[in-house]
Amino acid sequence: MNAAQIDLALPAHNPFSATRVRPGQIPFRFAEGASVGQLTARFQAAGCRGQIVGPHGSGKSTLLATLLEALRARQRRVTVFTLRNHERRLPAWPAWLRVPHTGGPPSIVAIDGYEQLSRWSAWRVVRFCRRNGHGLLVTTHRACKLPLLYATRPELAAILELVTNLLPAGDNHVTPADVEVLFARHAPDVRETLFGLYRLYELRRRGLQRP
Amino acid sequence: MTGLEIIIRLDNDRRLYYPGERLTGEFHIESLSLVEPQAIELSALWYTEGQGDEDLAVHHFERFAKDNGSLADARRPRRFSTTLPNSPLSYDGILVRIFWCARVRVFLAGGKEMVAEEPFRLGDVPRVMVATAEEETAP
Repeated sequence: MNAAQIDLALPAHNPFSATRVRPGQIPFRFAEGASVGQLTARFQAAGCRGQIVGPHGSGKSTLLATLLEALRARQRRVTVFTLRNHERRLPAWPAWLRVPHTGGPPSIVAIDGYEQLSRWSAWRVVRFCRRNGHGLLVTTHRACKLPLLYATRPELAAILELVTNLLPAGDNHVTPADVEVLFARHAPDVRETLFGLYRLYELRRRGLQRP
Repeated sequence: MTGLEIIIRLDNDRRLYYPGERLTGEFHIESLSLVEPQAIELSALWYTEGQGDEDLAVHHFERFAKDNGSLADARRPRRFSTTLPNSPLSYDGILVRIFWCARVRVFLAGGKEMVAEEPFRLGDVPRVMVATAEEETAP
């Protein structure tokens, strides 16, 4: 194929790509009356221990990223462990975490995907943090014994607002009706909904499917 | 507002390059204010976009900084040149896409920074189409 035959137009970015919707890239949308300040205060009042509970893809990691950013802004040292693919135990603790905390605000251990730990590993994590004076903040599908900070329950209105914010102005490759259909199919999994929107956007961008 | 604008220009207006070809161009900073960059980095890099985690690799990198005397005049146009590699080629798939670009990052006092990119294509891999005769049903 010579250069004259190929499409030289540089492709536009897909607003639903993982890079753009990963935790930390988009703000968590709180339910009425809740805020990051309120959750941070609740976490501190509970002795810097807490859990974020919700089903798969419902925004737990996004909320965790939002909370950790607020905690870091308060000079907290944070260590994050992200568990995937049925990891039943944590990797080795960093050396500085093995030193018991003395004075100042405690460091925070954050575990995204806490439900994947075996009961034995989970018990050891709780004991380790308590003994060394570290805070513990986890996300989990199943409620555990830590104080409940927030239960994620995504709603269509929040997804529509998110999609509006992600789409460039005037871009109508996906419509509110598409969002509604995909969310109805995948609810409460926002991540899967966004994956569906990614694919739909790609097809429409190529003229393979009409809006 | 920093009052700075980063201008990147590639010599090849079509922005299409082939493996082994030279990528050449220049960049400069336009400034209406007295804000002085502390450092400027130029890189030619590729990154992926898709449903999975982003992958990225820097092919060419240059840094100009005040602290080592290589950034005497930040507004002076600077040429860059590098031989492009054999892979990865630019790719416009549905599940994953590979982008190439020249990227300039300007570091200002106080930890602020600005970034500008000039995209280009490496190779002429055709855009991926869905291999079904009929349109997919919505959505």
